[in-house]
Amino acid sequence: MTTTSSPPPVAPASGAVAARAIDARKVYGEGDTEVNALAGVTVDFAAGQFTAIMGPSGSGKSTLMHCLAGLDELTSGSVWIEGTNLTELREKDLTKLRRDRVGFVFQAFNLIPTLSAEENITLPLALAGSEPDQAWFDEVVKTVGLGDRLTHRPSELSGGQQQRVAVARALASKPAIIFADEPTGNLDSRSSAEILGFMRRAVTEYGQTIVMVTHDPVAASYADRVLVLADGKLVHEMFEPTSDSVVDFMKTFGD
Amino acid sequence: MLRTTFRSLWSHKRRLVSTCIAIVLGVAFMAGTLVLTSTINKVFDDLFSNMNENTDAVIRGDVLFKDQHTGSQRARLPESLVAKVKAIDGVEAVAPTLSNDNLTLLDKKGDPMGGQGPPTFVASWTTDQDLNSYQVASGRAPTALGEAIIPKAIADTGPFKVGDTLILIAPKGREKLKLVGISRFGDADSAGGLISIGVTLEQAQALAGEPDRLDTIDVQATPGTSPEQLVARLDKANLEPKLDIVTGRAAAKETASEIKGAFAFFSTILLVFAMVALFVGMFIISNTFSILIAQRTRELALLRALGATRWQVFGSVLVEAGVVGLVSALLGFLTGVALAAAAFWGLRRGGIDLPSAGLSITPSTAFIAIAVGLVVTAAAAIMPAIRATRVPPIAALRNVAIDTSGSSVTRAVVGLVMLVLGGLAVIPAFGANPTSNSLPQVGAGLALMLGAVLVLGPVIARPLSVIVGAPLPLIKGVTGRLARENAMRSPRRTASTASALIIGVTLVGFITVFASSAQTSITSSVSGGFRGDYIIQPVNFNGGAGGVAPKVADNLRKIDGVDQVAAIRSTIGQVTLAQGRTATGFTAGIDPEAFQKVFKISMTEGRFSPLAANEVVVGRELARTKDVKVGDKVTVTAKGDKTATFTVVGIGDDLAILTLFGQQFVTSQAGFANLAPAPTDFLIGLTLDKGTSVEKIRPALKAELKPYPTMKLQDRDQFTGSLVAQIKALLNVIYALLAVSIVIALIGIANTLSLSINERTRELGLLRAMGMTRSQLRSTVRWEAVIVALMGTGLGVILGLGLSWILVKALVSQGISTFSVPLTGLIIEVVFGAGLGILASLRPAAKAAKLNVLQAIATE
Repeated sequence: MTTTSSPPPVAPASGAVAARAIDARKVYGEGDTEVNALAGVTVDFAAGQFTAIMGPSGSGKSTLMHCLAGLDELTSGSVWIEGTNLTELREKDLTKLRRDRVGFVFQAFNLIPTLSAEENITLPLALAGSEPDQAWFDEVVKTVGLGDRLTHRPSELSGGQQQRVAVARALASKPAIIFADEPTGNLDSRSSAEILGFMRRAVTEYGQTIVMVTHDPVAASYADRVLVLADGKLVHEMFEPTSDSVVDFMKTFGD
Repeated sequence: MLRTTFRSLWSHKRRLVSTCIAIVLGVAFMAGTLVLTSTINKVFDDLFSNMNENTDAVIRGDVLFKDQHTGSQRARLPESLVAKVKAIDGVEAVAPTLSNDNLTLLDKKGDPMGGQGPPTFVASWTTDQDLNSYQVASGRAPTALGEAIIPKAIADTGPFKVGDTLILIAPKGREKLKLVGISRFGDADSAGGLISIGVTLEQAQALAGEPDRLDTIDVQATPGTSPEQLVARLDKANLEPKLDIVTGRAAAKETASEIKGAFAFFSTILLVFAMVALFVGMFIISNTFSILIAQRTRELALLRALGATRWQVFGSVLVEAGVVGLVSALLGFLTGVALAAAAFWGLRRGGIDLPSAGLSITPSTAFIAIAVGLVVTAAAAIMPAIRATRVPPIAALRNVAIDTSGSSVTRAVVGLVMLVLGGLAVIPAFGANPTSNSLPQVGAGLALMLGAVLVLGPVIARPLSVIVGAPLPLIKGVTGRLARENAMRSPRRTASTASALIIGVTLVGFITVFASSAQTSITSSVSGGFRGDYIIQPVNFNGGAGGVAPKVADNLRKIDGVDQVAAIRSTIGQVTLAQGRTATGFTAGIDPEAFQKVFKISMTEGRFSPLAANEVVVGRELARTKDVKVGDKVTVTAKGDKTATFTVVGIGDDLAILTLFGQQFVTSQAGFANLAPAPTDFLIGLTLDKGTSVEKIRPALKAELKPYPTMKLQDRDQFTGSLVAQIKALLNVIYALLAVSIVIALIGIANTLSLSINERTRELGLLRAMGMTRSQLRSTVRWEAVIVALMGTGLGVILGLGLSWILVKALVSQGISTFSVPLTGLIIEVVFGAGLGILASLRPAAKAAKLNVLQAIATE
């Protein structure tokens, strides 16, 4: 696969598109210090699919995710969440879009320290002023196994439990798409496996769309599809990856 | 180490700006007061030394008594002394002087001049130009009875020109003088705005009703004779018993210091408020350094891990505080000088004709102002500095723990002990009939209780935030919930932010409630004690001016429809009580029969009426503090050297208006005649016949008072209204002074919020990523500020209420008996406090809303 003339990856014909980037470009700095963080990325994320984005540091994978999630602005090109073109939205509408249609799981510092686990889970809904769907809330809490921890503050939870709360929060508002930025980066392998398992189940059982940035081949193996970025460009795509196949590719890629 | 300190100082200089403002304001307030005081002092020193430049010695009568209202009262001299002085060897020239302070000059429109400003003197014009500090500027000096000269500034205000007729209101009626000249005082148009009317000595004596009497004889020495030699010779001549002879310079100094004394009181009050402002500022400084150090825990730990000692860490924090303190104190001093210049200019514009001397900035003023700023800052930073030394080196490797401590057992115990001690100290306030002697103890108790609340702040901040913020989650949902949680997060930080506000609001609340109680007490004692329909009193109580001749009361009595007329005359005097104890106070002369019909009085003991010429009634407070009993003999020496002895026949409980105006001794008009041969009535109350309407009789009363524009006629409502207005005017001044402290507290809230937001960057970024809108974020910050502000104002109002209640209890003996809560005032105060919180949150909230989400979540 060449890096210059690859056709836009096409989503499986069966599903709708949850998010899409068209010729996304992001340039930092000017003149000599100019850096092309994204050098024209076009990609679709099918609804109900778990996608992992990989790539070395500085490849643009985080920038791509931030732009897709409405946290950062493109220099040119466009990004879409379902039918909405984010590049045309004002700051206020972007905020509402994040609140209502996007879920987040960050690597660390995911929770508001002054709120209990339950309040953290319902935070986006509370910010929107809407009532949580109790049945769905119970279901999510059960899925991530937090039942007896709901009234605890983040400082009283382990790192793994904190990430479970973060995943539950992302699921609670039934967003169009969840962006996870190295969600297991700070966890031991057992906790990591748990978190990734929950995310996998959310996709398989509830049809949730998830896009995860990671550099861990094991984490990537939970996904349906792996995208590899390098120097701001999409360089490879794998379906139904195993950790071995990812490791193998990353090895050749590293040379 | 020092370099690290300065680097760190420079790197967060913006965060220290508001701390600097707090110090600058406090120091400026203080420096301004000091510079203004020393400037005014210098002006008066210059003024009086110029005035007596050529006077080498001054011969005066013996001091009869000293009084805080009117200064030293001296016996007058016989005019025959002048010839004897002239005959003494070494005397070049003499100038006999006499002045009257009980006249009022009317301007062209017929209104009294002077008002609350400098007093009016009708004084003998010294013909010997060497001994006269005024010079004739145009026209000529007075040479005959009925002629006068006035300073240019007064002529300009009048406006008067040479040839005009001046009309003066004297106790006996109108006096007319022909203006023959305009004078100047050195290079000034008047001596500090003094309305000094020059007449011949004979005329001055006629106006005083004391022919052949003098106040002083100013003496000039022959060349070669020093002032000291002259004084010695005059003393040796033994002209008359009981003479007080001093050098001209000493006399000038005395006069200047008496006037300066009045300003010293004023400047003490200003300094107290400056201290309050600085004290409030200390909380903000301490808070800022606490937060900065908490945010630098890792950096400090790294320094410690690399080998910095505890002392070096302590020192570095203190040096940092010192630099901030020094810079701010310098700025504060300069601001203070500017303030003083503005105030001095304002005084001159406001009609006080002070010579345009430059500001007097002494090195000691500069030193005190800067040192205080420096010390206050350093002292406030000591606790944070000690906390900095407790950062263990291992913290460098751990995740940063932020400013957690808050309530300690020690703090709770110390606070409670202070509260109990304060409570014990105020107990005398609740005893039956507390005397004024217990006031210092009660005051200390009140201060202790306020201190206790400040100490307990961090302990009670968390539960209080829960209570104050309780409705928030219901009203504002999750943003309200977050605001409340944030306010509870660091109880110590919240407490010290609120403390700054507590102090200001407590004082405002305290003064408001106290004033309202005083107002209610006065109004009820006046309305309860005054049965009459009209009251006549001087437009202002300045100097000895005001008052009318007894014949006015007689004429009023003859008006158809007037029933009773109660006139009060009064004189200041020195009183000798039993066993040689003395007191200085006012003695009133009344007709007890008529008085009781116009005013309602109550007696503790003995009788009020009838009073013989040698009988006196004493007020309760004086009777108790000086242990005066019925049957005691008291001797009163009045202004003008008249002495009379009285027997105490009664102790008054509430003597209505006599108590209100501080008349401690009350005798009959016949008894008063022994103290003052030419009495004047300073207040007249009257009742009307049944069926006579208040409005209908007003023109008749006005007509009778027409010759006395210095007196005002008020019906009942106007009278109580004017008493209330005086209290209100005083309150406004106090509020303005306290506003400085409240502004500093406001800066404190804004500062703490800003620093807290810096600390929470990561969290705010997360909230924004989660979909919190900018306005929701602003609202969270705003409500947090409102909680802190409400906590400060709420506690302040409660404290103010409690403390003033205790004080009112303690002051029953001073005539303040009703505790009255100005509910609307207090509600306004609380709403205002919340409003201040919103105002303080504006900048931090805007800053939080502008946060770049991506950078925030990337911040390590």
